[in-house]
Amino acid sequence: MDTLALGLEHILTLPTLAAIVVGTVLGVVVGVLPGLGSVIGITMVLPFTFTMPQIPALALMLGIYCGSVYGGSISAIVINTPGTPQAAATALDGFPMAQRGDAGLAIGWATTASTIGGLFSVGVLVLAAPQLAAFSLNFTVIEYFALGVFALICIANVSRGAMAKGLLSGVIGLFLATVGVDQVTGDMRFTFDNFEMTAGISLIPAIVGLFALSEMFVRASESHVVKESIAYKVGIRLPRLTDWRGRLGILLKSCLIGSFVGALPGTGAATAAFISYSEAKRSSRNRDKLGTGEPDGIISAESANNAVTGSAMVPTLALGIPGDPVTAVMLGTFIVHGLTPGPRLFSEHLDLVYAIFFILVAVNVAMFIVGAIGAQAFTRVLRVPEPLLMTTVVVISLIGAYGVRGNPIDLITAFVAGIGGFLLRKNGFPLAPMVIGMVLSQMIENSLRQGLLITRGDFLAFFQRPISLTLFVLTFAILVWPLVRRLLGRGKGATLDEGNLE
Amino acid sequence: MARVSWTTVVGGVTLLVTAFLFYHTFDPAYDVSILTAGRGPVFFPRILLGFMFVLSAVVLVEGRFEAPRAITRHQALLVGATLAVTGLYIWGITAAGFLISTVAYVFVLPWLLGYRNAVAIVLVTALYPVGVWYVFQKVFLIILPSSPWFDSF
Amino acid sequence: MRGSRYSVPALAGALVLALGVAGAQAFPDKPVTIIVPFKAGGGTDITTRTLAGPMAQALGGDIVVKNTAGAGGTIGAAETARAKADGYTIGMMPVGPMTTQPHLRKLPYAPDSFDYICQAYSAPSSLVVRKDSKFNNLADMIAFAKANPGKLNYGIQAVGSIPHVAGLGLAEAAGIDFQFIPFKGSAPTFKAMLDGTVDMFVAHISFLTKNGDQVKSIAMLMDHRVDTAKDLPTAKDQGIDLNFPIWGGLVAPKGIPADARAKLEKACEAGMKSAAFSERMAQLRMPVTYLGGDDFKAFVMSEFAKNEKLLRKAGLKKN
Repeated sequence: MDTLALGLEHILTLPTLAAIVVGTVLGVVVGVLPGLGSVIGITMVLPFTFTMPQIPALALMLGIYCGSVYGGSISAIVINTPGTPQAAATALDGFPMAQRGDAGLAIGWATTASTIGGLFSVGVLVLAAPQLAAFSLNFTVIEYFALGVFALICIANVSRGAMAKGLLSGVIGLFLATVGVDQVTGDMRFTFDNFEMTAGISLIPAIVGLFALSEMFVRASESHVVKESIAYKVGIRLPRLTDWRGRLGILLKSCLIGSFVGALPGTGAATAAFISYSEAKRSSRNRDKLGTGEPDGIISAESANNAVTGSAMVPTLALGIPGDPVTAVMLGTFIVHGLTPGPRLFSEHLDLVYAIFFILVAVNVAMFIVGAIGAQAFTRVLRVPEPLLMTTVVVISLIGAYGVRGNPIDLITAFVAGIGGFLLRKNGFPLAPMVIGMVLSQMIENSLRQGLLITRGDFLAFFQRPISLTLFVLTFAILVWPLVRRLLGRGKGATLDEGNLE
Repeated sequence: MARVSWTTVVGGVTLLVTAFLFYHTFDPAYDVSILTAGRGPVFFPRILLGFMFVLSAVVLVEGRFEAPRAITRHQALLVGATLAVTGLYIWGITAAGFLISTVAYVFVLPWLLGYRNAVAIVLVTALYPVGVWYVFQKVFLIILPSSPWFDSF
Repeated sequence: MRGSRYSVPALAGALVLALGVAGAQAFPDKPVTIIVPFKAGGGTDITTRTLAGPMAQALGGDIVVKNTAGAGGTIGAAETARAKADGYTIGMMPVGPMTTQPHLRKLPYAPDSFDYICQAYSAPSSLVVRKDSKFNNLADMIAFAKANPGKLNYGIQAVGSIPHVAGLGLAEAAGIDFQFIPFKGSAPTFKAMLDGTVDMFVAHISFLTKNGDQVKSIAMLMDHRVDTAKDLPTAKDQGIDLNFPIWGGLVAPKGIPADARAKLEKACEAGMKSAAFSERMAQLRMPVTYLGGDDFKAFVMSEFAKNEKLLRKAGLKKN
C-alpha cells in the first residue's frame, strides 16, 4: 500500500500533471494528422525529455503514445483516412456512420471504446505484467509465424461479399511489403536496379495514397452527382448506456485481444485492431451490419488498439524489449535514473510501476476529455466545402507520407497508391485487406524463414510446438467451420444465410 | 467482342504484372547461397505471386459478369486533370520546394473540383500553405523540401 | 546628378564587397541540417540530437536534425553525398552505411564521396549471452561449439552489419561455426535471445548498461579496455584479437569550403566536450572519443578495407 501511495505521490505534482495534459493533446493532434503518428510526436519532445525529471518525461511520452493511437480514429471517421495505420480498421464502420450524419456519435463510440480499452490494459499491466512477460517468451519466431497466419483470416473476414477481389487485394498488400531489402539475406528484391526503390514500399505513404488521394480521385469522378445534403451535426454524442446492451461481449473480447497482442513485442496496435475487428465480424450479433456503420466495428477496433498501449509496457518494463520507437525512448529515460528494466524492476521499484499505472489512468481520462472537447472542431471540418476539404487533406497527408522517413520516394509511392486505390475502389475491391497484407507481410515472411533457419529447414517442426500447433488448428477450424456449418445446415434442410465464407 | 468491364481490365493487368514478376524471380541476381536454409529471397514472393495469379484469373472471369460502366467524357477529363495536377504537384515538391508548389496546388485544385468561390480560394491559398509549412518546419521540426532559389523555403 | 551616377555603382560595389565578406565570415548564416540515416528515436538519432544542441551553440547558428531512413541507412548516406557542398547539409554517418553496405551492393556513393568533419562517437561492442547462460567466457563458448558443431545460433541485427561481421571474424579466428539468424534491429534480437531462439549476439555497450539484469558480456570486442568498462575482459584478453567498435561521425558532401569544414570540426569538438553531451554518454557508459576530420577519414578508410576482407571471405561481397 505504501508503494501505491508513493506512486500516486509521484504523479500528483504540477509538472507531471502538466506533462500528462500536454502529451495527450499533442498525441491526439499528431494522431489526427494523417501520416504523422506516435513516432513524430515523440521526436518532437525528445530534446525536452533529456532534461526533464523522469516521471514528467514518462508522462509526456505516455500521453503522446496513447493520444496518438486514439487520435488516428478521428480522421478515419471524419475523412475516411486513418490518421495512423492503427486506425485503419476504424474507418470501416466509422466513416459510413459519419456519412449518415452521425460523425459525433461515431467519435463518441470511438472515444468511449478507446478509453475503456486503454484502462483495461492498464489493469492488465499492473496485475499481470510479470506473468504476461514470462508468457510472451513462449512466443518464439515460430509462434509469430503461426500468429501471422492466424491474423490472415482477417483478410477473408473483411472481404465478405467480394471474396475474390478482397483476397487479391490482400495478397497484393502482402507482396508490396516484400519490395526492398530482404531481411534474411540482405538482398534487394523487385527494385530493378533503381537505388531509390531500395527503401521499399512503406506502409504509411501507401495508406495516405490508398485512402486520402484515392478519396479525392473518387470524388472528382463523382462530382457531377448531386449529393443529398446531409445535416452534419457538430460535437460529440456519447452512446447511451442502453446502446451498450449486447455489445459488452465484443468490448471485453476486443480488450483481451488488444492486451494480449500488445504484450508481444513487435506486433502492434494495427494487427490487434484487425484481429479484433475480424473476430467481431465472425461472432458479433450484428455481424451482417458490420462495414455499414455498425458500432460493433468501431468498438472492436478502437478498444483493441488502445488496449495495446498499456500492455506494450509489459515487455518494455519487464524484459527491456521495446516494441516500437516510443517505448524505446521511454526505456532511455530509465537509464538516466540508473534503473534497469527487467523482472527485478517489479520487485525493487514497484513505486515506479505504480506511477506509470497512475499516469496511464490519468492519460486515458485526459484523452476522453480532449476527444470530447476536440470533437467540436473535428466534426465542424465536415462542413468545410468538399473541394477545399479534399485539397487541404491531400496536402497534409502528403507531408505525413514524406515526414516519416524524409524520403521523396514515399511521395511517389503515395501517388501510385492513390491511382491504384482509385481503380480498386471504383471496381468494388475492398482496400482494408491490402493494408492488412502490408501490416502482416514482414512478420509472416521473416518469422517463417527465421524459423526455418532455427529448425535447420524442417517445416514439420513448426507443428511440434504446442502454441503454434494450437494457432494453426484454430486458423484451420475458423476457415473451415462456416463450410461445415453450411453442409450441416443443408443436411437438415434449414436455410442458412449468415456466417458462410462466400 | 463485347465491351469489357473495368474489373476485367484490373484482373487482366494484375495477371500480366504477376506473370512478369514471376518470370523476374528467376533472375540470376536472386541466386544466393548464404543464410537461406534452402529458401532464398524469392521463396516467399513466389508463393504470393502464385496466389496472385490464380486470384487475378478469378477476378478477370468475375468481371465478365459485371456490366461495363459507361464513363462520360467529362468524368474522364476531370479525373485525368486531377491526376495530372496532383502528379505535377508531387514532382514540384521536390523540384520547386514544398511551399511554392503547395501554393500553386491549393490555388488550382479546388477550382478543378468545381469550387467557384474565388474569395475563399484566394484566402485559403494565402493562408493555408504558409501556415502548414510553418507548423511542420518550425514547430514539428519536419524538414520539408526547399526550393533551389531561396534559403529557407 | 553626376555624383549620384557614380555613387550607385560604388554603393553596389561596397554592398557586394560587404556581402561577400559577410558571407565568408558568417558561416553559418542559415541553419545547418544534419541528416540521420535512421528513424527518429534510435541510438544514432538520440546521440545526434544530444550533440546538436551544444554543437549549435559552439557554431553560433542553428542545427536541425533530419531523419532520412531506409535500406540500412544507405538512403540517408546517398542524400548526404549528393547534397549541395556548401556545408549546410551534413550527415551523421555510422559504421554500417560507411564501411559495410558499400561492399554488399552497388550504391551511388563510396567513402571517398565525403569530406570528413569529426568522429562523434565510438563505443565498444560486446558479445552478450543470457545471464543464466552456461558460458562465462569465450573459452566456454568455443569449447561447446567444437563439441557440438552446428548447434549454436548467433543472432544478428541485420545482414552485413557490424555484429554480423564480428561474428564472422570470431568464427574464423576460433575455428567454429555459427548459424546466423537475422532479425530486424536490436529489440527483436534481444527478444530471441531471452526466449532461447539464439544463444548470443553482439550488442552496443549501452545495451549492456540498460539490460545488466538479464544479460552478461563474455567478451568486449575492443582491442583495449575502455575507461567506462574496466571490469569487463576483452576478446583480446582472452586470446582472440577482435576490434569491432560501433562508431559514427559527421561527414559532408565532398568539396565543401575549407572554412566551413574547419568551423564544423571545431564546433563538433566543443559540442562533444560540453557537459550535456558527456553526461549523457556517461549514463550509457559510452566513452567520449573525439577524432578530427583527417584522423576520422583515415580511420574510416582502414575500417572500410578491413570489413571488405571479412565480407568477401564470408561470401557476402559478390563482386
